[in-house]
Amino acid sequence: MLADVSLTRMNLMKMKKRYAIALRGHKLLKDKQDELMRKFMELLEEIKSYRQEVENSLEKVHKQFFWAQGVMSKEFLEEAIMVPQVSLNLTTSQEQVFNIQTPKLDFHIEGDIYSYGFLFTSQQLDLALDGYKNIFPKLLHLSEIEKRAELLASEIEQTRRRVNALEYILIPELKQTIKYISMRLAELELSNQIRLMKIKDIVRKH
Amino acid sequence: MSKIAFIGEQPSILGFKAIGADIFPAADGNEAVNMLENMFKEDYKIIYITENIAGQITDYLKGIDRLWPIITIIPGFKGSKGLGKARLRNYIIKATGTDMIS
Repeated sequence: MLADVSLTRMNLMKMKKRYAIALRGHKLLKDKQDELMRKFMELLEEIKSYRQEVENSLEKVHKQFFWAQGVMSKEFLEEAIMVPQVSLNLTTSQEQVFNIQTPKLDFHIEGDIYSYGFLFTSQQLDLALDGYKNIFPKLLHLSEIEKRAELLASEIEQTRRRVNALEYILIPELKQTIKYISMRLAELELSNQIRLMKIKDIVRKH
Repeated sequence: MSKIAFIGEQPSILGFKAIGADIFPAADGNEAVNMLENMFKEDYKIIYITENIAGQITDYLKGIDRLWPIITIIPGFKGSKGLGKARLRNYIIKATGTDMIS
């Protein structure tokens, strides 16, 4: 029960109003939680398969790159790729999902990734770099959806706490308070009436 | 400066240099944490960390709570150890309160 409530009709009305609002808020939040959860589950499915795919293809590219490292001398390899002639243009924006700002990525690669002469480099390096270039958009998309999942998860946690606080604490408390006030008011009224009857009795006897 | 950075053991990230990302070879977790702290002050939008390094600083990574940069774990040249999936599982536990995939 809420502490410090005075037993007045005014207070009773206030409590009833708060109760109605709490109920409505609870319903809304619960709906929000359900919908967030649905979105989250959808996203999870997507991420699970996507991550698997990215990890597999990344492994393949790594292998290719290793091969390239094997057939070339380390100095030539590092020299070949240390000064890239490409520029990565990444534009970031934010997209709103419910009330959450989620990151959105957009990018394109400019320039030639083969920034080296073909004399001292091997064909495997070309293949590996091509692989890295192809996998890059996938990596970005993975980052994007994983971040979204993280944000959704914390939003769901917050909403769940709110729903629970309303459902198990505020609403029962208000209910009890309303009951308490109305019972006490009824009691007061009853005692008042009996007092009046008693007085009437005494008056009549005289 | 590119807005994308890779942290990890050199062989795993060297290739990304060729497509224009910044690479930061790190030998161990402590070094990586220092690099991350520095990157937060700069304008990096995405940071990829290889599993080997990320495995040593999981607690630190868990404590990061910011929109940018996005930190993503990628498998290193030794193949995936499932760290990325473990992270996903943490989100699920956070969202539902229970471990749904086990």
